[in-house]
Amino acid sequence: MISILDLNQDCLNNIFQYFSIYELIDIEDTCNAFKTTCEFVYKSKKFHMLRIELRFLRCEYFEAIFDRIGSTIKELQFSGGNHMDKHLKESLIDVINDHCIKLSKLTINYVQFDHDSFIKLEKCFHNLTYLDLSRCSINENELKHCLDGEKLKSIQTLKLAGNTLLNGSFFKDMRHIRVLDVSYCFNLLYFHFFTFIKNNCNQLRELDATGSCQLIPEDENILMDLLKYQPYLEKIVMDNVGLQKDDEILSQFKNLKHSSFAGRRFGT
Amino acid sequence: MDIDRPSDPQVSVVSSDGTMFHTTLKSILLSGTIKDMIEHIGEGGVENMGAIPLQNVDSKTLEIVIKWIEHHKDNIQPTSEEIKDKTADFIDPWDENFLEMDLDKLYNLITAANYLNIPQLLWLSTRKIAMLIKNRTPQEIRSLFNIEDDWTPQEIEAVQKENQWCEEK
Repeated sequence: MISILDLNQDCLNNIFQYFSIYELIDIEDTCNAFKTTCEFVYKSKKFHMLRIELRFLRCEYFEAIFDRIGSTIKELQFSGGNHMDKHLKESLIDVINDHCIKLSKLTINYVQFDHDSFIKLEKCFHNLTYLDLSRCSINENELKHCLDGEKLKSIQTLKLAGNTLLNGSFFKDMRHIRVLDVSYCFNLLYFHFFTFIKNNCNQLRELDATGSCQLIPEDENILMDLLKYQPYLEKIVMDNVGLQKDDEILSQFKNLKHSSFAGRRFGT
Repeated sequence: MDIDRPSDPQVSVVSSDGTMFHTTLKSILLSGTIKDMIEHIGEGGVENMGAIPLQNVDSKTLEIVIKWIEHHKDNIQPTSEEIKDKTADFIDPWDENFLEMDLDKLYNLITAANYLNIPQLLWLSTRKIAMLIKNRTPQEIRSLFNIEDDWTPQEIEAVQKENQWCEEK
């Protein structure tokens, strides 16, 4: 009669690949061989990407999770809740900074930050190539803070969708952004955005400004500005801002693969 | 196409305990390990190569493996990389029924599928064990799989200390 423990490590690893991080943490208490196998799986490709949604998170596991797989994670997606517990929020920021040494892509949605918590979180930004802080109610007045583009040279994708109070000073110094999502940032000002595309951003490839109506003043031609300062754009999405598709201008973007100007201007 | 050559020639394999099994080339090629062996023999060598010895698979297990590969010989098999993305995919009722076997046979099947490099069979058989472990406490897992609790008192104390903060919450 043979036992599950007679299976070689390869086979045990295969079995354990089916378990979530929560299940693995429970299972590792079974015996030494199971704990060893869990440790193999913690370091495997399975946990290069981790998505946590607050409603699935058992709070008591929060630090335990990152203690085990924090150093494996390259991409973390976290979706909180606007009424997220302050202690949990602080724990999230601490574990990211303390454990996630290989993190290159970070998505945090539906988490509100105050000045202190944001400054703490920002410590991990310098290694990131991808940062998504969509729907985090980012507001320059409350944060009293601006992302320093010179310190964040690696970030190429910045997503700030749905931060409805953001006026644009927040990202004005960003030089290395290639993909920018500022959709549904209703208060994003043309002035800040113009400074961004003209003086700061080296080479923008993709832009999504859906619904961000303040970006499109009637007396300015944003498409002409984009053509003049960001001629290498490959994708322009500006739905629901009341802008008409201008084929003559668009045809002059040499690399343009996709553009969209659908829908009526919000509020009209 | 050579008119005298059968489209799916017979191939023989020998288990670790010396039993010979006959199957078809199409079926046996589901094994990555045997596929590699055959590719090294070259064109025209299959009919003359004799029985393939499989020293890590006993006759009872090989019989099960052959039953599975013959059933699936016409299906497109996913690669190991594609398998890794599968989690709760639909399982063919034939496979579900096929995997109704005792744990000993299942362990041997997992070992054989791993050695023979048959990703889909390895996925199905390891998944079966994983589903038995899911939603069970460590104590229940130890009872089901007859595993000895090998933690030393010091290790138990260390784990309890590690988890103390979450019990206090």
